Amino acid sequence: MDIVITAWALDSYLDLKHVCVFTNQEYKGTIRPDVELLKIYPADLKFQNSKFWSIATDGKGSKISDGFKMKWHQVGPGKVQMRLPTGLFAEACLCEAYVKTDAKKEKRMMAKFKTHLELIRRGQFTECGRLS
Amino acid sequence: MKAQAVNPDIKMELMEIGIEMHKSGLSNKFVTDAVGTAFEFEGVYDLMKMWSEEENPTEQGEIVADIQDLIIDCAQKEKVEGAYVRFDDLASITKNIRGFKDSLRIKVDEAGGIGELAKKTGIPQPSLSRFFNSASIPHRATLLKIAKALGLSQVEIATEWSR
Repeated sequence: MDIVITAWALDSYLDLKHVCVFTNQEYKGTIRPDVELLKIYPADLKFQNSKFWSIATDGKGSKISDGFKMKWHQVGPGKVQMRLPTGLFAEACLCEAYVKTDAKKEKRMMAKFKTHLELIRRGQFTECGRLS
Repeated sequence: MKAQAVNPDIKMELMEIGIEMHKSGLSNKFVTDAVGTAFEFEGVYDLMKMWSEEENPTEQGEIVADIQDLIIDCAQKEKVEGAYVRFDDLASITKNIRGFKDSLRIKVDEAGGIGELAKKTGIPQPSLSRFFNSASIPHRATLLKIAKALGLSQVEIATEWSR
């Protein structure tokens, strides 16, 4: 499937790059290749690994329709956990990436993700290119 | 949770949270936009609930900034094709955006600071702090509000990167 870069994803990458969450090498060697696996979703075995890919749930623990999270651990100099919320429709839509810090932040980001997915369904969002 | 499906109990709950928000000092504009958006989008409702249940002011500020982000996002009514950015260009773009925001921040500080700007624009202080601290592409609507509040011309707030 095609991989759509939303403005939320681009803005979050600008912020994460600005504060050096991940290195250029990590992006090119790990993050980008992992994201590109979405082109053949769900064929790659990595998608069976819940430490890499899981459904997204809201603050009440309910599944977020069409919502998934790609996960990286021990990223960058700070060895942080990075998350890339991804909506799966006819295309994979990359949404607002973030560093996982605590349960409250997780709930907030999932509330935003839920809203972003609804905006994508309604065609009310900005596309900033596709990964090819 | 489409607007037409929001039951009266949830609407009342949201209006009560809106009243709490207004009592806490948030602007009429923000509160009415937040409540109106929450009527239509379940994620915004979730954030409003989190705000009302949160006791830590810093965390409440983060929730307010998230709600403000979504108010802007939900105001977009159609799909837009934005500029594609190559990864190798991210560093130069963030430098460009940070330079622009830092120089705008100087003007804000000369005019009384973020708190004063929040009063003049109706944009919550946590949102403005996040705006000035981030490297994300600014929204034109936000820039125009800031320009109007500071008495700046469109030339003075012109930037290559805005959306």
